[in-house]
Amino acid sequence: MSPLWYVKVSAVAVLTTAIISALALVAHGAQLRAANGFHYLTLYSAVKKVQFVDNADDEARGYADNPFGFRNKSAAAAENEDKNGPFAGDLAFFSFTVYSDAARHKPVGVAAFTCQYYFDRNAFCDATYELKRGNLTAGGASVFDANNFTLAVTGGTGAYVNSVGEIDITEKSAGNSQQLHFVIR
Amino acid sequence: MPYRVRLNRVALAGAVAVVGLLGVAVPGVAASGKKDTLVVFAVPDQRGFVNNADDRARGKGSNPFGSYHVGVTLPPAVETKYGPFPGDVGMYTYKLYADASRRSPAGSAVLICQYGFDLTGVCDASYQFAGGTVIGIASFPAKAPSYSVEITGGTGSHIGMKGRVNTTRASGQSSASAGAYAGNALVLAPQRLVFTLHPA
Repeated sequence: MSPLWYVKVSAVAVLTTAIISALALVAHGAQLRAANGFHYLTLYSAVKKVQFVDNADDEARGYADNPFGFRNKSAAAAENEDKNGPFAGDLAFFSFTVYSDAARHKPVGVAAFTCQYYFDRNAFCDATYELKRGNLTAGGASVFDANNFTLAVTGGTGAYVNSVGEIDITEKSAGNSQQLHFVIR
Repeated sequence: MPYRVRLNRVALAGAVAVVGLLGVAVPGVAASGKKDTLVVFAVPDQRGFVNNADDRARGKGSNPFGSYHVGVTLPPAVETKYGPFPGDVGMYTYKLYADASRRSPAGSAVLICQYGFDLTGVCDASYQFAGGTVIGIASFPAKAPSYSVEITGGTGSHIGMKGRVNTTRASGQSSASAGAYAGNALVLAPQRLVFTLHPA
């Protein structure tokens, strides 16, 4: 029997284990939510305004002039923001209108994101959602061109006071819009 | 060693590693309401610093708050000796391991610090594990020998979690940095992280 058969069987075994473990994790997560009183809310958002802050000069200054004594050799190369950005140190600000329907006819609030970019086009974003019954705050890391990312809900006011949970955000194909799937309690 | 035996052991090791990694990823499973404690070791990966000296200087004469008086004597604006200064940003990423010998990868982390006065930064932290993410906030001076991150939320298997991450220098390790914080910059050193998590 050829060694290649064994490679295939072994690879299948590893893949099967990984899939089973991942499914168990997802199932356990769903069970955890249901057991702990989380409920679901789906809203939609569309970008209203965007502002990008290109901190190239401050980033370049910080490569060598910093109190920690490190030097970023790889960062010395010229940055092409259009092609390869955003770069570590850049900022982006977004404001959104939030809707209750996918067709975006019924506005129910607004949202604002402040995203601080760090390495490999990742950003840590702070978010606030101002809805009719109160505000929700959230935060977390995301990749610049990801179609989907999840933020952790950190608190709220009004009807959402002491809220915890997560917001799963999915980019929709048309019109710079997003689907927001809240899992909160 | 026969080829088939080697492959089987590799496959078995891979399966164990996957299950082990997922096991590390679910420390916050506390449907019963109990606290979970997890010890993780962080190794610095990438670091960056945004030196906003020109923006600070511009803001002294041109700002919407009018001509403000600082009220204290500021040190000379020599970043390497007296920084970081208000407005500077430090960015630090880490690889996380479940063991001190760094054989079992557990995830990754990022700390982004916005520096204010007295060398103190307010930092957003994000710890990414296979089963989900935990985020938090910390405030500490750049020379602090330890700091604590207050956990504000989580996703996936850590959804709804609160708690704290106590961060100290991993034993026997010193910072590789030079400059004003030679040997003292915890953010640039290998760290021992003790997570204490509980459902909100």
